[in-house]
Amino acid sequence: MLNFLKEEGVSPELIRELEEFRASYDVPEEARRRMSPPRYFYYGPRLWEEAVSALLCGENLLLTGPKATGKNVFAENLAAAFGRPVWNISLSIHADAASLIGSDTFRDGEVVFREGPVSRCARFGGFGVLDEINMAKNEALAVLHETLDYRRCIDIPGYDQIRLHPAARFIATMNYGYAGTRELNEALASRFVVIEMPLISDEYLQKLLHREFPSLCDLWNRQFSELFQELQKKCASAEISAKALDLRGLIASVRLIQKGLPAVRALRLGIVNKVFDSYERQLIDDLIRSRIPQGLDKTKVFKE
Amino acid sequence: MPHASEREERRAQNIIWNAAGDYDFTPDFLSFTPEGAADLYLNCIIGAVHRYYDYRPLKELFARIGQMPDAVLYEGLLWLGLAHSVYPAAKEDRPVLETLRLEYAKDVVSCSRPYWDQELLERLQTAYCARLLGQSARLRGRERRMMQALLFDPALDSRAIADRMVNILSEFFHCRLPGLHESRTHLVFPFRLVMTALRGRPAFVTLVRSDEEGSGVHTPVTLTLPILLARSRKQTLRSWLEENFGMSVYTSQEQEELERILCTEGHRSCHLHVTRGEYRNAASKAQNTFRQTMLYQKERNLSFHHAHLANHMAAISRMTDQIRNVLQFDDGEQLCRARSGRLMAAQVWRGVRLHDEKIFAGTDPCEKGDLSVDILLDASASQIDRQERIAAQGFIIAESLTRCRLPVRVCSYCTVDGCTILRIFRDYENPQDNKRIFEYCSAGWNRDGLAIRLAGYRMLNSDYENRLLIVLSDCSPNDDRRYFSRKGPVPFYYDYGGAQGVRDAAGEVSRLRRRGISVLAVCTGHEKDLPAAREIYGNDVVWAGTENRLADAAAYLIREKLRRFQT
Repeated sequence: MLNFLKEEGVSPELIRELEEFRASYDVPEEARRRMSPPRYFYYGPRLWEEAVSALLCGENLLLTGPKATGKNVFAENLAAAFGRPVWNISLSIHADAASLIGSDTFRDGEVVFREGPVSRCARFGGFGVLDEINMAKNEALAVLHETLDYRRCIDIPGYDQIRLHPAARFIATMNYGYAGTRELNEALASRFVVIEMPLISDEYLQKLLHREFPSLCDLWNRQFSELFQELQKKCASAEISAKALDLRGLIASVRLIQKGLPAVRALRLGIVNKVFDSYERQLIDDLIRSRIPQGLDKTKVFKE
Repeated sequence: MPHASEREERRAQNIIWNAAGDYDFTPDFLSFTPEGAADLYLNCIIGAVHRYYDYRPLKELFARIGQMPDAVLYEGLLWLGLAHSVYPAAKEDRPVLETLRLEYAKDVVSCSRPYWDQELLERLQTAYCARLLGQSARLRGRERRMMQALLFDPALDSRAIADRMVNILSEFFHCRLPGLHESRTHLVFPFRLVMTALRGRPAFVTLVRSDEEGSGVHTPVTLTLPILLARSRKQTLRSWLEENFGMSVYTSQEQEELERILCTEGHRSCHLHVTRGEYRNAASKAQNTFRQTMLYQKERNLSFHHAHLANHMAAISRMTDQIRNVLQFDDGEQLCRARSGRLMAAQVWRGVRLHDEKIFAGTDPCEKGDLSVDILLDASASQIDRQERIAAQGFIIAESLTRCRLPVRVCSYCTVDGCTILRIFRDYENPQDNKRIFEYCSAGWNRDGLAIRLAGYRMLNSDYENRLLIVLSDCSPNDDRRYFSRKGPVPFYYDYGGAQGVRDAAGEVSRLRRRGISVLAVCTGHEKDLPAAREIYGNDVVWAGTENRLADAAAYLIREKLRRFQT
């Protein structure tokens, strides 16, 4: 991971500090299985430098941005760069304090405390990814206030206080546009430093596709990436909604092409069919047909 | 959704914008297949011309050509040349153009007529396409030379291409290109709509419309909005209302009962008419009736909607998301027995003795009650110059609520000759009828108090537990039928309008609120109408400046109301 950062041109000083951080904190055995190399890399040295600096300073991060900006990929990459285990905590409107911190349970005839993901992450010095933090009710998140500020602890009523491991950090992600989201409470927002995630650029998308599909021809890599940029532009000009602007969908489509599905059909599955309005679907279909020929298949898209 | 041609037009524009990489211009040309569908290849070429050339010299040239009698031929020739010259650069960016161009060429060649039946442009196009397919096509010497001249070198810039085209016109057609600002020599058909209306008076509507065969010829039509000039007997009134606004949803007895219940106090001399806009003889085309005006207004409303489709769809999408957020946030939770959670001391014995692990209190989300929304559009003549906008606003709100699966009823109201007419566009159980809101047409006065009372009465008779009424109005109640009041034994009659009208409407709103109906309003008038709106609706009012603002403001109010229902 650090080699990747060097390749990306992240400041050597920060990389050195990262190495020191990794050397200072061991990962307990029971948390090791939560460490795995990231599936995708996040490209963009400027954001890397901002995020690494903030985390080295002991801050928690809030990654905000529209759909398909790689918030979760970046959070996962950061945990890997810092060499820490990850706890993914997907928040929903039904998330409550107990589902984050833990609750009482009955075991062997005794009432015992069962740790929640936040408590475990705090104890083992992990990176807790609070996914779609603005989906949760602010009342539920209030329990995190003392965890996220200078107190760095979790006080569990009736039990002991858990002090946060010095390597523990929390990275929250949020998207204002999704259905089911709400404004983040000011008290909670003030406990994070906020990084606004930009839309993925043409260059980074091509790099991403190349790394994910090394045998993808440069010509079609460029075409897929241009297609995604055109989708972004169409969304920005309000001709279509953001439903089809789905990076995961594009990557899934390329994977389907690799599996043998004709390109246009694969893109329909991954992108077009995510829109349920027939007029909008037609516009996206036109966009694809003006980039991708009907007969294109894996023999032309991928090198031998 | 736009009807076929407008939808295809928008599609063609989208292909062009996409190929041009720019959404900030309105294309001068769009290309369609003979079936009327947007042509992918040629629209990509049009977009590519915008992308790779400085379009200004070409735009100027097209404008000058457009003033010539054979403009279609010359424009076609210029596009033939441009398609040839822009292709290499466009293909570099979009390899798919190679396939699209061959498909296009095949279509042209396969559909081409015999040489002697073809016009010049068709001959050249066929020959060019045949050449792309490696075939030969017949061309005479002059035509061959013309073709050679038209195949502009891709290295030329747009100014050089424009100069070459001027030379071609002079050499082959011996015609002089008119100056950019010379007056047109051919007939231009006007297309405009002028509406004049006075409150409660006949509105003379002069509009110029295209004929039904779609030949592009526009025929002027003058319509008159009828009003009743003299007091009618109830029967005459009813038949007139049915002829112009549609049949009543109530029988005569039900109607009388309704008026007995609602037309009381200050409204005692008024009448009511509730209709779905259905006519006894649907096929008959009554001339010079309000019904015909409504049909024309519907076209206007739809055209406005199609022209602002992107904005409206974006507003709907944003409003839907915001409302859906609230619906998804259900703050109500129920405690239930669970395997984990807060320990219930009284249940501990069950764990020890019965090995029942459910001795904790967990939470279970509970469902919200039934909710219905009624939208009431003010359709008085004071709205005549913003009818399209109000129809669109009503549609945006109704469509957003529909997408959130809320039962919605949309009606408009106006008062003509003392009769308050409630026109139902779509009912709770007809989510597919939102488009009928574009049948909205304004006429007459607005006796807001009585209309709100009628709408509220109908809402209270529905089965829903929570009810929300959204009124879109300029909040200036006005009627020529006076308002009756009594001070002791002495009867008083006030003009229904100004402070009296506002007071009456405010009283009705407050009465509905006391009976459990939440009322909020969207002020469709001017900013100066806001104080009256506040007097009637309190803080539950927003001013609809633009559709985008409406979406945000209305969504905010609806959200707040919905939250209150849930707590």
